Amino acid sequence: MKKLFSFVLALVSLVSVSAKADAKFWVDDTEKIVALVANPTLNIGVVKLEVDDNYYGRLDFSLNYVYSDMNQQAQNILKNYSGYRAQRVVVERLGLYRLQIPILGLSRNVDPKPGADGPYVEDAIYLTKAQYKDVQNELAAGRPLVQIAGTMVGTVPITKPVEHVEIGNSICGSLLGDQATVSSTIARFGQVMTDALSQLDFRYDSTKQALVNDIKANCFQLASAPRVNSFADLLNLPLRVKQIGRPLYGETSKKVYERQEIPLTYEINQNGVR
Amino acid sequence: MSKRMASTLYPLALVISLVGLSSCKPETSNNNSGSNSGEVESMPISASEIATLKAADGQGTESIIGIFTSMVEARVQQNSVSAIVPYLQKELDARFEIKCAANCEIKEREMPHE
Repeated sequence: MKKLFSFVLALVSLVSVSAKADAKFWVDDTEKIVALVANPTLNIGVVKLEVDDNYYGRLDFSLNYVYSDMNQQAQNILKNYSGYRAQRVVVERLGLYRLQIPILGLSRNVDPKPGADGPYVEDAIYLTKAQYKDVQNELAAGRPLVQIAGTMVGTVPITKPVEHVEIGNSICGSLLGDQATVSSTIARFGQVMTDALSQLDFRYDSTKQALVNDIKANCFQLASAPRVNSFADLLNLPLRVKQIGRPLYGETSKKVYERQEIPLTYEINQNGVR
Repeated sequence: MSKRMASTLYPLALVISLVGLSSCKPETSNNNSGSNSGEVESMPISASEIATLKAADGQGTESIIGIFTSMVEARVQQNSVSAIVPYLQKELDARFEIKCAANCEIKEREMPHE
């Protein structure tokens, strides 16, 4: 009878709050994919049991995946990436998570369980009458009640340079020569570039092309204001070296999959009553 | 003053769209610049090149240089640069009026009907 009474009380005395965090994501512009790790939702519930002063209440908490929250996180990100599709990153835990409930002086490790959507935690702590009141006061004051932190790992797509080839900017002077004009530079460009590029090793043609493009974009500028009345004038425009103060380079970036650590940090400091 | 400065500082960033010239045919000793246009005439200025130049009316000098160098590029597999450049220059001056200060005005000349 007493148990039944406690159960009924528990139903009417439940206090529940939750915390959500934004999803972590990586963008693959080549394939128009947003790879994302949806964050679990932290829920706590405070239940009044009144079995006795030592088992007066219970603090339930779970860090789990809620479909509607996950979907919302994905939509929030995708609205900034029109035409992209979401791809879920499979994650697993990296070690134990750390649970802290300052008002109870509690700090301990919890062992996340593997789940279909990622690691999750479910646990409960029984509260004495005094602890129950402290918990209620903390919630009412909006102070952090439960903190949980941990690290997940997942394999995510990352675009990064796989080849970087540089050449000194003195090549710009070689390309222009003395009294350079548009016409003379066009005439010199092929041979000078062929000689210069033959001294370098390229794994990817795209790196070579990027280097040529950087040279074209950053080596030259018009030496004076153009006054052109014919194509002959155009070709006779003087050019000079543009001072860019860095080496010229070509780069090739590719998508690679890398294992990355994804931190989780949650803190409940909201109040809500259900 | 400001126009002049602006023109001078054009990041000819260009523009010098010498794409592919690094793989162009090496110059040969029997190329007489400007006089071997018969070799280049096998690649006359195309309708799309004319359209590109017409569309470039109002653009900066560097853009026009870029278009010119692209036209050179399109011919380097069959011809030497020293032959292409004077050929194109002559052909373009015959077909177009061009005036550039900060920007270029390009107009196709009226060709006499035959």
